[in-house]
Amino acid sequence: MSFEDDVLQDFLTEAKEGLEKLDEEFVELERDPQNTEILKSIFRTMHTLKGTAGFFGFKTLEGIAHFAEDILSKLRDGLVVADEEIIDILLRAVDHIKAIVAHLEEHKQEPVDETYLDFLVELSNFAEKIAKRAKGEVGGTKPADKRPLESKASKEEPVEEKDTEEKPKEEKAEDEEPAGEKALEDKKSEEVRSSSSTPSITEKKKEEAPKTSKVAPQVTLTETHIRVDVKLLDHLMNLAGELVLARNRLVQIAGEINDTELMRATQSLSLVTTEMQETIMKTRMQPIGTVFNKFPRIVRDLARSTGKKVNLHIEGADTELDRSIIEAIKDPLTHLVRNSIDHGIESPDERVQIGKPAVGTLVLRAYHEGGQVIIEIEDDGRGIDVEKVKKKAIEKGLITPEEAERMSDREAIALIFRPGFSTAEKVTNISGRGVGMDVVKTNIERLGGSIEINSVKGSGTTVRVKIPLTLAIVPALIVLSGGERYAIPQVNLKELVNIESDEEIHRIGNSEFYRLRGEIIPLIRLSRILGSPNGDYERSLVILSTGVMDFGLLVDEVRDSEEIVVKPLGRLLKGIPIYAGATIMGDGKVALILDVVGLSRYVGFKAEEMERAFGEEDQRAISGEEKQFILLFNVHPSEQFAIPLSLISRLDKIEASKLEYVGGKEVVQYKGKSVPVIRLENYLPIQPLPEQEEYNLLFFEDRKKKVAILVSQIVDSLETDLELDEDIYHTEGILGNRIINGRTTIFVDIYKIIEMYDPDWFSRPEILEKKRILYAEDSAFYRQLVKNYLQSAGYEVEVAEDGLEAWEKLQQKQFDLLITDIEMPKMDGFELAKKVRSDERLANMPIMALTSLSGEDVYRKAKETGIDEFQVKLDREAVIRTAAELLAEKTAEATA
Amino acid sequence: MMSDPFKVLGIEKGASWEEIRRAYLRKVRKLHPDRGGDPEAYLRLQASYEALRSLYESRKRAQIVRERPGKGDYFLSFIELTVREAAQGAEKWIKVPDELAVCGECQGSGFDPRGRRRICEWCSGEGLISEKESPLYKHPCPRCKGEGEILLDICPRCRGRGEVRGEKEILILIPAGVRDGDLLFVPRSPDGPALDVFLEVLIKKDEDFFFEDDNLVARIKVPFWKAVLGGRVKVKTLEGEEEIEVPRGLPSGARLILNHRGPFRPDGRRGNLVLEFELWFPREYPAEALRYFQRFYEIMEEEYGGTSGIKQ
Amino acid sequence: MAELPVLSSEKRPALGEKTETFVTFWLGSFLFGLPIAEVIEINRDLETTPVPLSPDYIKGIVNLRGQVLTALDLAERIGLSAEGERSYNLIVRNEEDERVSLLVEKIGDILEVPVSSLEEPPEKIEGLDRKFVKYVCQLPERLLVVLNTREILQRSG
Repeated sequence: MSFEDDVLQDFLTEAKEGLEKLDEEFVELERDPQNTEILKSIFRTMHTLKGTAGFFGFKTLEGIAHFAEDILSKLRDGLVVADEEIIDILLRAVDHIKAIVAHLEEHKQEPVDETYLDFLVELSNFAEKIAKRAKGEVGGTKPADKRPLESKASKEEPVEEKDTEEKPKEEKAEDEEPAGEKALEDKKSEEVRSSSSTPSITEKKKEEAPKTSKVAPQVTLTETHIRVDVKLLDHLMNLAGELVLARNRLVQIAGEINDTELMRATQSLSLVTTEMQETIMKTRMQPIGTVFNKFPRIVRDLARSTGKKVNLHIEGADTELDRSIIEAIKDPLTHLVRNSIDHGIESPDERVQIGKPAVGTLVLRAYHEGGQVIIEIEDDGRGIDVEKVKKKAIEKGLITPEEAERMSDREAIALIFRPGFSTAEKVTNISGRGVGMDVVKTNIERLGGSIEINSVKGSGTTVRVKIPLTLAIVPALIVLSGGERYAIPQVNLKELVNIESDEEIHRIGNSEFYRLRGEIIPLIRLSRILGSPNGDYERSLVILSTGVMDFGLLVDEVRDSEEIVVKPLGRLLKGIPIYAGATIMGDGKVALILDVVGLSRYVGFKAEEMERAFGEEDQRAISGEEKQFILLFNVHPSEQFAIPLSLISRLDKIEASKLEYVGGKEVVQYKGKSVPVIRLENYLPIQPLPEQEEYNLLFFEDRKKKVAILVSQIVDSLETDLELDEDIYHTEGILGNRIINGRTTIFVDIYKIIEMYDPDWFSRPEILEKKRILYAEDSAFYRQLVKNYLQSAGYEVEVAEDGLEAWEKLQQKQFDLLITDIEMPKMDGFELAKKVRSDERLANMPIMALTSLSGEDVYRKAKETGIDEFQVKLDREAVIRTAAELLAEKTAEATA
Repeated sequence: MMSDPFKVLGIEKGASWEEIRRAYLRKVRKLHPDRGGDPEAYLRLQASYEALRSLYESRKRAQIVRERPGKGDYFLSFIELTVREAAQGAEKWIKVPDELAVCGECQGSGFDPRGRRRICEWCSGEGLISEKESPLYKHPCPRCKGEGEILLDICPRCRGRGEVRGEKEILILIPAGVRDGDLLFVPRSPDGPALDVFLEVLIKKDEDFFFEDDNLVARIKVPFWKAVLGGRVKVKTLEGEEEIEVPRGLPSGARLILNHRGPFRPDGRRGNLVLEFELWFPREYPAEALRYFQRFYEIMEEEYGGTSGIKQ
Repeated sequence: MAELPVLSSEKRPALGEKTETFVTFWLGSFLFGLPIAEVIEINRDLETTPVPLSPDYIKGIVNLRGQVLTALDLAERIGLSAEGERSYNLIVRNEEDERVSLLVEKIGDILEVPVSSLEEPPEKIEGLDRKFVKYVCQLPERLLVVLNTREILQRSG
């Protein structure tokens, strides 16, 4: 050890020399406190002392020299002026150093005495004070209790390092450094983010400018940013997704039509749509670091619980992803990381045995590549043992031993993703299910991504997840038909209806309908369209809208609503009109997305049919937009009849055998009950019903009474206005006729017929006086129909063909009640009502409006114009009841 | 290639600066030309020492942070310290990530050069393909890059990436007063780690030497005879070995507090060092001692009366 | 995902002869081949979702690592009546750079044959539509029928 002694000796000699010099220099300094040269020299001496003391490990000495040097640097740089207090403490420092040196000479060890330590503390506090003074008390955000731990050896060591290494511009750097330290401890991440770079030397040089305020790094100019509600962005995303779907459709159609202009226009639309979607995506981008930051804790806990030692690398934390992807990958990533630590990385002992460092490495890495985000989970563990995987797969019955033989390594590794491979030993927080690799794969593929594994036995495993940056995500309803799933874009969905019984569906020939609150909705069965065996199991009705029309789709079952990623169908399948694309479901299987417009083409009422119906007739004035569905049927095949569909409560077929005579009346056994039957030929001058094996029944219901009209065949149904030629013979029970589908069609007045069948069928209200009703209606059909049943109810009814005629009649004659249609030529119902209300004489007349339209607007307008009540024309009972009410009121008023 | 400076100095890789210094001095003694050493070896020694010294100079100070900053890439590991190191602060060599470099195994291709290979089907093994139009002009086959063969297995080292991240050792200064579970932060820098480094502090459990709030407790075994007659025991404090006077009649479990001799606190002050004395009884006694004990026993029993209790 | 099987040498080409390599597979008793450059991947038992209203030869759509591909029943497409279970998916690329899956029975070896042995198909081939055949090649034990991918993937009708 004598050589070491020599070295020490050298040090001591050098130290003593330095101390002597210091004595002299301090004397000088007292005389000339601002002498930079002296200050520099003193500083240098102290610096050398510090260095060598550190070299030998004389911590106390080093500490004192360090703080002294600190103070001296401020003096030297002119930030603080050396006053008595400062010089005094510096001298004391020198004294202490001297004493230590002396002790060292004797004992070769530093003295252990409280006094030195106390002084050290005092000196350090003082140095801090000076440092503050030098900064001019700027930026006091330092929380008092959150200072970093300082070792006595190096409070601002990086500062002095710079002092020695780069002479100029240090004061600015010094200012930043404490700020950086403090900011690091602040919990606010923004501050940390921007100033975490400050401790680094090179970067400090750059951040010189704001000496005055340490606020600079943290401020982001708020004028260029705005806050947006996340819900708004989500909505925007959805719209973008729907736009993509519509664009796809357009592109497909344009491709079929082959018009250059259209193609060009579609192309620019396509480009804009893509860019718009991408831009919207950007607003939802978040750095993947938010997910990655969950992992240090997970890794640490896992490592601890499995007794393994793991180092974690996070790389590419700034890589940005869409928010929804970030949410969705949390669980799969967690699972993969768990796997790496559980099964990949070996225990420290094992690792050392095979020559690996005891501590394993796990890397979470993300980066962009070719329009995709790549996330890698890499470990240096034991890699995947292909043989073991094969064995396990055979055990689980996933493959046969022969297949295992022939498999390549890559195929074998892919076995891991097979469902059933990894039994869920641990149930994780993903909806309570155990998570296996198959679920991970499916979850990633649902995002449109893919997952692959690169593994080398003994070396480690890298799992690579690729996710595309642009997604077309659309909310959709999942339905079942024929055992397969189909997705219906939510944008087309109006309503969902549960069909309780078959009775709710009305059949006419090949078409089916559903009555939705007075509206007749044509139905189509998905099973039939898809060509699969008939589903009588269809109990769910999905009401869809193409914007132009509404219709109902019958499916087997309705499942959940989901957000799906739209994937285009290949070229070979693009042309099929009922599909808009495909999507990958939660279980990894593909499901088709239905195109609602394409489906609507299957609806029975084609526009052409309607036109045909119109075209064959002479041009008639069409009364407003009133259209009704009418049913065409035959009694005798040569004659065609029509009746408004809404008057019929049901349609059905029966076998002739079910017809019976009971008590002189013909009835039919229908669903266990006897229902009286009407043969039209008994009441109308028409050809009789031929003998058939099967007949059709048109059911009519009024309150609890039911009756069925026996017809031979239902021809069809169609929507049309009710323009008629009035029956020249005014036959009771016939409203008129018209040519439909090339045949003369007789419109039947069902109320009359039923009355003829059973005069007591409709109860009549009590009538004291015969009240006079004026009924304004431009359609002959309704004029007849309503007039007839009003008359049957005991009222005197006069009719007018339009508002003007009604007005004139009102002037001339006395009426008790005005019932009027809305849509009429010359003067419509609203106008008529207004006029009546503004006429002195007529102002109090009760007015009832009848319409075939329904809807809030009409109702409101009716009320505005002074109409008292509002009813649907074909609802006989309601009309009569309301009329009675209105008349009763009037009477009450009159008598009051 | 420079030889490993640690090896040249003959010390372990994780040696502290102290050890490095000592090793240097030891070797210098032997190798100094003036003392008849080999000049070449001497130069090598100097170079190694210089290298380590510059590493030391660029030693990084680890700071204690509450949480990780939210942004950026980082490396998370842990560091084991003894109680002593935590209390006093320490210098430790740690392995930290270095920059990315081309994978040496596969030269960046990502494929294992020693793995299976297959003839490239594009060029049928020739390595060159010719253009359709001008069959005279051949250029390297893009599929196999002119090799004529395609490598099938991925490179075990980089597993297909083509690059690996290097590792380097740096010296960090750990401030005194860290506690178990604290997070140390060493920011990335050109001469330091290539990524921000976070280290979780794990303090090795030691039954006889542990933290208690701001103080350190050291369990000292005191042979019972010293408790009886008084004496000195050797105690290893943070400053080194010392002799502490044990007062006579010291009860077991007694604590002697040495003010400000304990661990350093964040504000620079020190906690206390608490010596907890535990009476220690040897398992075996020399025969002569036993005899004296017997006599001692009898005397004490007489004095303090019977085996039934201790009379005050 | 499957790797393409290792090169076998059912027919050793002479030195210096130009050769072409094919991926071969079985359908019924026929051995078919496709140029190796056209085959991207071989997979197995990809679960197919049927597409109602699609042409008969389209078996359905499959999920291949997040992409939706159309799966063609190759036998049906080329007019071949075959009974074997077609569970192998041969993934090929079409003209628009889309991937399509062809369902075949069994995968054969990768064969390298001299270009000189590739012949025009005869006027009539028993059991399948000639327009789908690009070449035939007489191998020692059987005939290799090289198919015309373009024709197969063309939309019919």
